[in-house]
Amino acid sequence: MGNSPGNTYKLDKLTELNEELENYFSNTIIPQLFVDGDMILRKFTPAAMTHFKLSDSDVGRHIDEVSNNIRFPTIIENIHEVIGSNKSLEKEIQTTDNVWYQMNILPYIVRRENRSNGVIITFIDINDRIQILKGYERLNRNHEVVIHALYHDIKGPMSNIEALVNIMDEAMGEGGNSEAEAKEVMEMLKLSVAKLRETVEDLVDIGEAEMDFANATERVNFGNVIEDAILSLKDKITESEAKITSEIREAEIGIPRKTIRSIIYNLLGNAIKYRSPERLPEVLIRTERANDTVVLTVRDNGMGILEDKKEAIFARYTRLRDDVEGSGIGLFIVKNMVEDTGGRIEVESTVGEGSTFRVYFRQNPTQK
Amino acid sequence: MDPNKKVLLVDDDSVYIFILTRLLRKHSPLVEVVSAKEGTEALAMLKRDAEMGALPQVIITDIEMPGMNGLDFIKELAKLGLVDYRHTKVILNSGKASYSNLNWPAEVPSVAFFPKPLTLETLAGIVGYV
Repeated sequence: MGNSPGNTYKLDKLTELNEELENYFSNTIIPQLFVDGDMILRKFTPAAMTHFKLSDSDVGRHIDEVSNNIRFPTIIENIHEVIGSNKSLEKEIQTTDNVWYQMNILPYIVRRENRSNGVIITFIDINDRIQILKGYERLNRNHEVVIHALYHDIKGPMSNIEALVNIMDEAMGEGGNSEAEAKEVMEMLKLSVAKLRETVEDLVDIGEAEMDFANATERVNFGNVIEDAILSLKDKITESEAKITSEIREAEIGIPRKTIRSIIYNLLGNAIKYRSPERLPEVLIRTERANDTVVLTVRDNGMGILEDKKEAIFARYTRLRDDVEGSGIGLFIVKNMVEDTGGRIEVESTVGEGSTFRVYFRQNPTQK
Repeated sequence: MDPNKKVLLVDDDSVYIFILTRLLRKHSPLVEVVSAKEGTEALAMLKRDAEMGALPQVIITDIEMPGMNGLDFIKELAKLGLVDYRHTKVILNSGKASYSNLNWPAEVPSVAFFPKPLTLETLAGIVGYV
């Protein structure tokens, strides 16, 4: 190169450019990786160090050795694909620990030879966007439930009530109808009003749980919520002489208060509603932890559920017994609420002996 | 309507069945009204009716019911060839008016849709010309 003034100038210029690029690179807040054609990790942004727990010593290592840090199984396959095709790739990925990224793999092109000699991988954190999207999906599902209930569980009983009132009206006008018939119509009026009321209460629950979405991280005390549900069902408990026992082995849960209250209220309400005619109802409510799961159990000694109806009880239109008031959307709503939190609900039952509902909530012991 | 004719109501809502039965009796006091809670029960009744040669002239069915729903019921009914559509009118009846825009599969003969609740006038129109 020599010491000619021209070369010094070029060297200075080059150093300056390199400085600019280094600065640009080290100030990038987005995780980015450079991987060369031999699959060697050449460079990464500081953000990549925090997102993927990479350290300076990882520079120069084969991508295979650090792919576990990236926590996305097909990344190596995807890099080969881009190098082979010379075309960029964009996809939304979820890492094995459930973080969402938009991943872009762009070919690193050697211009003179017009071939790719590696890739630049960019990760954009889209977790918030996905969470909002999930929120909208939930909102949409609840909207469907409300609209459906409006047709099936509100409009129906409403027009029934209207027709029954007309029948009453006629009966009184003519004076010819028997008292027995008036009584029958009155019973049906009561049934229709009860059904309407229950549907409206279920729907109010959806609304409340939805509004509670913002408090998703609060810790809720099981004892309080169970107490609250028992209080709300006091009349039914007294009337049926039900004995409610609770066994609280796990004291708290990180689920919105109204959601957990609604779940317990519905399960306890059902345990009393579907009681056996042969004995007084006894209900056990238990909370416990099993690894990263909090289990809520509601066990009754009620009439039980037929094996082939176990799936159906969680569906939208089911009312298994015509003689028991009920809108048939309560358990459907419970199932939706549980699944919205990432959990699941199961039922075990023997006809004539009782049913046990178990709700499994995903809760890391450290999760706050 | 011929006094010894028969109407089958299929609905899980027992109050609605009570109301329709009353309206039907008002229209023609001697009509025989039978009912089923869902499709499977209705099909079983129709099979017995077919054997005895006592099929209903009108079938009014709800759509959303636990068990076999109204749409599956009329498809199954067509497949089994239980009724002669020249003598039996099949009516779908639901609170959801959007069901009137359903596209019928080829195997199901034309069925009429009426929104819930059926009025005395509509009922008279349905059973009047059978």
